[in-house]
Amino acid sequence: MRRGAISALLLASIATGCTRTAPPLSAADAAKLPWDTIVARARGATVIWRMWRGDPSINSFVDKWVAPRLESQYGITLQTVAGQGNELVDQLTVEKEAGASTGVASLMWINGETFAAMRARKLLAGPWSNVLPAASAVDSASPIISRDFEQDPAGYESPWGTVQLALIYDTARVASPPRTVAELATWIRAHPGRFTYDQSFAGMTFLKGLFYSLNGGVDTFKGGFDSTRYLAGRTKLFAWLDSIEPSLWRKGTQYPADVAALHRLFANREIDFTMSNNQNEAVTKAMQGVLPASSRALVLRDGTIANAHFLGIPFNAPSAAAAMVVANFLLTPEAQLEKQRPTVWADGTVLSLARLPAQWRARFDSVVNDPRLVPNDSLRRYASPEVSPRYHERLQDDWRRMIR
Amino acid sequence: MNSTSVFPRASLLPLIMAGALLGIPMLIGTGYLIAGALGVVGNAAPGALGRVLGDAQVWRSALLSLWIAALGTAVSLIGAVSVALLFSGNERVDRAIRSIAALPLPVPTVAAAVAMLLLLSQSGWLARVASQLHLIASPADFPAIVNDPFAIGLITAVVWKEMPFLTLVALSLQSLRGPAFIDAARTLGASRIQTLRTITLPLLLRGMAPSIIAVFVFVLGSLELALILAPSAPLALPLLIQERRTALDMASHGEAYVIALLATGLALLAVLLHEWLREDA
Repeated sequence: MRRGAISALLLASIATGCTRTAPPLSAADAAKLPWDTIVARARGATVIWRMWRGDPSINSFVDKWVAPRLESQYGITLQTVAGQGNELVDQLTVEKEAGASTGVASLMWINGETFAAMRARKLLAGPWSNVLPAASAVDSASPIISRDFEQDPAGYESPWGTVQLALIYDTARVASPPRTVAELATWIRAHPGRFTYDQSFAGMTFLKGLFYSLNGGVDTFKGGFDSTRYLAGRTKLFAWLDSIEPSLWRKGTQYPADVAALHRLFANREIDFTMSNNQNEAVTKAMQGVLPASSRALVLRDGTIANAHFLGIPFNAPSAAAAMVVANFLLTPEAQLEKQRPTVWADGTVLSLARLPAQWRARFDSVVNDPRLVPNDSLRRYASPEVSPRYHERLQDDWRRMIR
Repeated sequence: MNSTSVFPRASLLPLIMAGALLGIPMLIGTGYLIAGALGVVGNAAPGALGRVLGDAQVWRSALLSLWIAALGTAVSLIGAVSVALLFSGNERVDRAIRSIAALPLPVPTVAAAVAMLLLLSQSGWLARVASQLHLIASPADFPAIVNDPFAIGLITAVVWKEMPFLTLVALSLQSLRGPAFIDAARTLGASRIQTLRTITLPLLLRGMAPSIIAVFVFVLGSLELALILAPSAPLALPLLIQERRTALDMASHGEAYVIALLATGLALLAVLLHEWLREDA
């Protein structure tokens, strides 16, 4: 009996050993094949997609709209698993150290500093993104889409959405909101306890926007990380923060953990402003009842940060070809339009409308012409691109040590 | 004990199995933490140990977590013992209390945290009621006891989750061995207070000691309540570990291992203290 069990175990381990000896097709190799072959190879595959799962409307778009279409059109099973940023860098690093040539995830939602860390550690497969048929309509002239925190994606990631930081206020409470950084400081001092920012992504992006504005604009920091310029900029930013700190919520002794906590304080009228990395959230979150119906977004005239988010394929993806098909599907006008609807997610498109057929252009126009949204031309006028991710890292670290 | 040998053959195997079951994961975990702290595994940069020991933020976090665990456990314990002393004896009351005490046990910790937030925050239910009753001018005047530097809201949630558990333990102990000793003492002429001080309480506390330590250690390391209710400065130890572990700057990842070791050490100290007190008694 016992011997039987042992030989069964042995057989099982040999069997699994055998399946591991044939490494899956890599993204770089798949990219050399004709697109039809890639689609054929992808059929029947399961793509495990590591993504941020913090927003129910994004989850619902992916699970209920994207996944069924991939299944019916391409025979691909899409499974999402929560995970983002350094968690992914960490996991892939461990897999690489352990020599795991076949990993678990085939697709990852990344950008900026995560992309930088993964590229530096050679955790990303590629190049592959330039062969996607749908990539031809991407707005490659936009500095916000063609660069990821000043880095060239170089075929190692594919864009799938753009967002821009906006402040959100309640028209029922704040009749004439501040429109510049200077007006904001005056408003905060005049309304003690009614403003704060979170200590996660949105809050740090807000700080980075201030950091540009207080130091002569984003151009000061373009062209890679410069320690001297950073320190001079930090001094000005932290002096500004010190000057408003006594007037912040809880006098600046506590900061909300993340943007969800910030939204809650705003919705419960503990503070009069919230913010979002997505300029359209004032409308989408109001539709969901998370924010008051009278919420509106505004972009500060000193400039607010806009960036694109991307999809990457890990070096050890088990289904790279299928992951490419998923990335391509997400770039189609159909998926980009659905994603941009305020009732769905209201994530900005990465496509150049000029490169689309006329009927698609009309459909996109009808989606973004909602009067409650910040008009597209103001968004574009005040958009600042991201700079080297090192600025973001240093600012976050120093804020945690010196301000919090 | 009527067996002649301390470890009869028959009981050796289960002992080894239990030891392996409990000990091996513990050893692997601690080994991995140490390796991470020394920079052997993970992405750690060398020198993490020195940086953590010299980091005031870490020590403030450790103090906050000890404060939360100690106060949370103490209040839960006082509540549990009071309930057990006041209400045990009458079987019907006893059963009713057990049923009530069992209610919070299956409530997920995160749900308890959110409930506390809805109840205690400055826009919460209590704040609104107080404002309606004109006790305060507006809900925002309600004292900040959620995400507050003294972690009052967090400790309240800890007590709500842990007091029922300790109450159940206390009630069981009381019903098991309370009456006989107390009757004997009372017959021998001890006053009610004397009986309580010299017999009932020591017996109860000694019986509860492992549960008390378990609660303390659990609260010290628990992340869920802290995620929602803890202050942002200083950070509770589990949150600090998570922040360093997922920091953008890879150099701080090794610090996460060192801080986790520190947290393990604190928990271990509590267990050792328990063992030492038990031997002393």
